[in-house]
Amino acid sequence: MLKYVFKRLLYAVPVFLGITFAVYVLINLAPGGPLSILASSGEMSLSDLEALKISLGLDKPIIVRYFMWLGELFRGDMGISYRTSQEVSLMVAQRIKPSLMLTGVGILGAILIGVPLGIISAYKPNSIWDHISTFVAFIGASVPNFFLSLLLIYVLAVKLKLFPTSGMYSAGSGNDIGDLLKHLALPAFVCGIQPIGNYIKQTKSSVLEVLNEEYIKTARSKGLTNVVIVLKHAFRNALIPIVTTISLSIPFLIGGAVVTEQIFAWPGIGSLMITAITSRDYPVIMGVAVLICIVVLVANLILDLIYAALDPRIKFK
Amino acid sequence: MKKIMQSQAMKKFLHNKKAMLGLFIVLFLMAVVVFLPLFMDLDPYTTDRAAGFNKPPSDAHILGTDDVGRDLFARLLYGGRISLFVGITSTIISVLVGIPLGLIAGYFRGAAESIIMRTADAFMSFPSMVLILVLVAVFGPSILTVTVVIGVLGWTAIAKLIYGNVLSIREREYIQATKAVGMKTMPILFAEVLPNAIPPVWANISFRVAGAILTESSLSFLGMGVQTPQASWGNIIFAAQNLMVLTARPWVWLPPGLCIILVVIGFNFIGEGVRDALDPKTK
Repeated sequence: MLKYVFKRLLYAVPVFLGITFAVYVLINLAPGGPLSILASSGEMSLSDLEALKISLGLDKPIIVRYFMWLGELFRGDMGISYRTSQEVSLMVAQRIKPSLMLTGVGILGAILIGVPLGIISAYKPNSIWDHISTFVAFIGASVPNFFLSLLLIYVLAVKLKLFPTSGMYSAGSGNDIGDLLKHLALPAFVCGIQPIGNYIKQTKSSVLEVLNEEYIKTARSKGLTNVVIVLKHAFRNALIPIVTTISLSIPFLIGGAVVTEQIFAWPGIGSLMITAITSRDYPVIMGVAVLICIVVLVANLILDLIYAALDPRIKFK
Repeated sequence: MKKIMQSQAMKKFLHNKKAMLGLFIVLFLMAVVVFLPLFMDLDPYTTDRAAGFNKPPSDAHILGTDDVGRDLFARLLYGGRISLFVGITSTIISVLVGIPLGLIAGYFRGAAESIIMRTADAFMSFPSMVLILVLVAVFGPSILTVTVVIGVLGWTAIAKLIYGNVLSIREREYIQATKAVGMKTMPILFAEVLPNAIPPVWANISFRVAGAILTESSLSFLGMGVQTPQASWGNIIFAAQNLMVLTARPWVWLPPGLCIILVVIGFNFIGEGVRDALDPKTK
């Protein structure tokens, strides 16, 4: 088992290096770095600028600078924000919890509702549940999440006043949990509705497939009830493609959350990224990209472990 | 035999009600945004001082005017042109990048295969929205950047599909036969392998157009895509980030939102229809 985990971790290393290197190079290509701002202000002479360039290491080739940056990253130093002069690592750290909460609740909700709906649709095709599933999947696939957010804010928050329009806590609420949940409900719903259609479809088709297997017929002929067959025998074996679908949906979920956070002014990584991009705050953009990369790799590792737990054969490959 | 298969698939597609509805929606919207501005006197760019700013729908401006007095109906149509253009053009770019890479990885295998397919895996495991935002930040938001960035980052799914198809095609007997009679690699690739590897990708191409339109609209909605004075469905909705516009002037943001939903449904229905038509298991 340990060997398997180690192998998966090794696989994550080149992905991490590749993505961070690509983003690092891109950002260093971009116009409007700190030196060009200083140079255009006219407060520094060219020779001073050269000296600063050397002291900051900006004269070295980009690959060397990347590894210097990487070394600093492992010491927990992500640089200083151009815009707020705060340490990027602190700015990013503050935003992790709200983002994990939002995407976590969204994906858990989608799994807890989507998977059972898929099972019921497989078990009872053309039932009311099957039609509800088709409709939910349809909404998730064809309504852009920013438009859905606007509709929800318009109808549920502004007209019916059931939920707050944005933010994480109301002013003066003392950060209590009920207030938080009210703020969380709409953005988490938007995050969850996007992948839920895929979860429903995948669960339905893989349960249907397993239901045609010989061992299910055996279970039937033994006189087991349908509920026992579906939940105990079919579902466990149908789980692997479902876990795959979940792991494939995570990048989309995170990408969607960036937009959703911005609309609901949710104080997470995504809204930090949008602010950083509009103000060309490259150290912060880089910090957010690194963090998202780590989150994606950790999520994939967790799902790999779930695979191994579901299918013992995987560990020995 | 191949001809018959194709015409059967075509028949299946033409008899698929959902696919026909999708095709109708897409062609209808295209016709409206392309041709209607030619017949109506519409101006999406200049301020109508007589009408004023932020006006509700009226006879002169059937969807009202925006915050600088531009006709919103004109912007909806011109915006539709740009949204559809970005969706379709970026998909063409994805196809042009994805097909050769998938073909090379699947046919030559070896080092090319591992480099291309591992890169595709890395791309697919990272949120493309985040990469797109970084790229747009670096190159500056414009129709060109958005189209190219969405297009180039969309190569993975197409390359993977082509790769999978080519892997199985290269082992077939007729490919072995072309090699045995001394056909050169390039003609084999383009005349024998490629034409057989492409059909299953058609459904995906239609889904990609829908996805690209969604991505462009999200970017423009965030202010990172198509920039004013140019219009796109997403950047018209950008105004609704202001709670005042959202609550008091739904005629600004509802129509472009509904247009996006319609066109996405249209392309998705076409994609599903193509997939079912090419799948020998469905009737």
